[in-house]
Amino acid sequence: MTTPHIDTSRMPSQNWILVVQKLLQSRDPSSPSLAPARLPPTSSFSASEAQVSPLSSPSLELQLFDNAAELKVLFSKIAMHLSPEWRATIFEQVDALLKLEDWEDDSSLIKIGTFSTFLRFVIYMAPDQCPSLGVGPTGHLLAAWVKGAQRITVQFLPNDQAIATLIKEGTREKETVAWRGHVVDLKLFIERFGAAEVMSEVESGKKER
Amino acid sequence: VAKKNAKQKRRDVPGADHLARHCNSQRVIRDLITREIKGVWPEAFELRVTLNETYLSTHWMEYFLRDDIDKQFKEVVKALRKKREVKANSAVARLKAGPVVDAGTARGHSIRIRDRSSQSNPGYAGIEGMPSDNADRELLAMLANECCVQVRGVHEIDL
Repeated sequence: MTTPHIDTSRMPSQNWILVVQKLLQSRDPSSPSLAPARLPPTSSFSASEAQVSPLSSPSLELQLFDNAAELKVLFSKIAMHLSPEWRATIFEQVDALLKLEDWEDDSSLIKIGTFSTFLRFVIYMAPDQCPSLGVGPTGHLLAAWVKGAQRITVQFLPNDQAIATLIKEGTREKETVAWRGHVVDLKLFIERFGAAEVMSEVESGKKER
Repeated sequence: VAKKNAKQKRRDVPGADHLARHCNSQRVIRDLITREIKGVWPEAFELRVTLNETYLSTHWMEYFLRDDIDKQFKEVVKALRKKREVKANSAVARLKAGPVVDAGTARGHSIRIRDRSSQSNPGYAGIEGMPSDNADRELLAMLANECCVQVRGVHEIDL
């Protein structure tokens, strides 16, 4: 009986799916064939998901560039839903937030999953005004809409989750409310709290969608 | 023993005095067109969980001198620069100490603001008693909005 021969040279390797399974634990650690395999550390596809504080290699400059590029590519996929003015304003702010000259010890890369949640929210909520963007200590994208004493600040989390704080003038004093949940429900919450007008057109910072 | 004595000497910052919190440029809210500072995000007042911070780092503005706010800001930035790099596009938020304690009380936290100054870090003060997991978002929003009386850019302070 001859050994079956498989010619792998013509196989389209890019379509292969590699499945890594946990190896059986060896009862005899001295046996090299059954000893736990030492797998090399895996590299992440996304610099922003891999680490928030880019203090190690590759260079900080490269990581900032990669992070901004990732966000812009993601934005370009949904760009048809937003105006060119929005695109310019968002890109400008992303560049400012990831500027090497302004980088400090407690600055963070922007996690792409949180940017994705932000985009989903602005497409669904359709605010007139483009928000001011920021980055939280854990790499979550922040957005703020300010109109006089009223303001909405949102911390976007991965998987369409968000944390928001709404502030408006009450009859006697400022009212502050915090909320956490799915971004689809955030729209309803903002409307119910009577704060939707903070996102509508204003004199300064007006950006048409 | 010296450390214990230093702890015993820690004074509470009076409620009428002010605290300065440095906020990097990522936590400053700016007007999209004029770039004028509109405030800071509540996240600027989060404790760094990864560093197991137990109090929020600030500087006691009246520690340096009583009445000149411009000079107080300058002294704060000078003190910060002894410890770290402070970039021009970052900002310093000025908070009144009394409302910080009141905000904590309103949210059910026992907050104390204590002088932690040393020769190497003059005016250093800590806001103690904040939830270590940053879960109280209302408190953070109150610090950013109701307690914060002014936010000044470092480039402006440096002029």
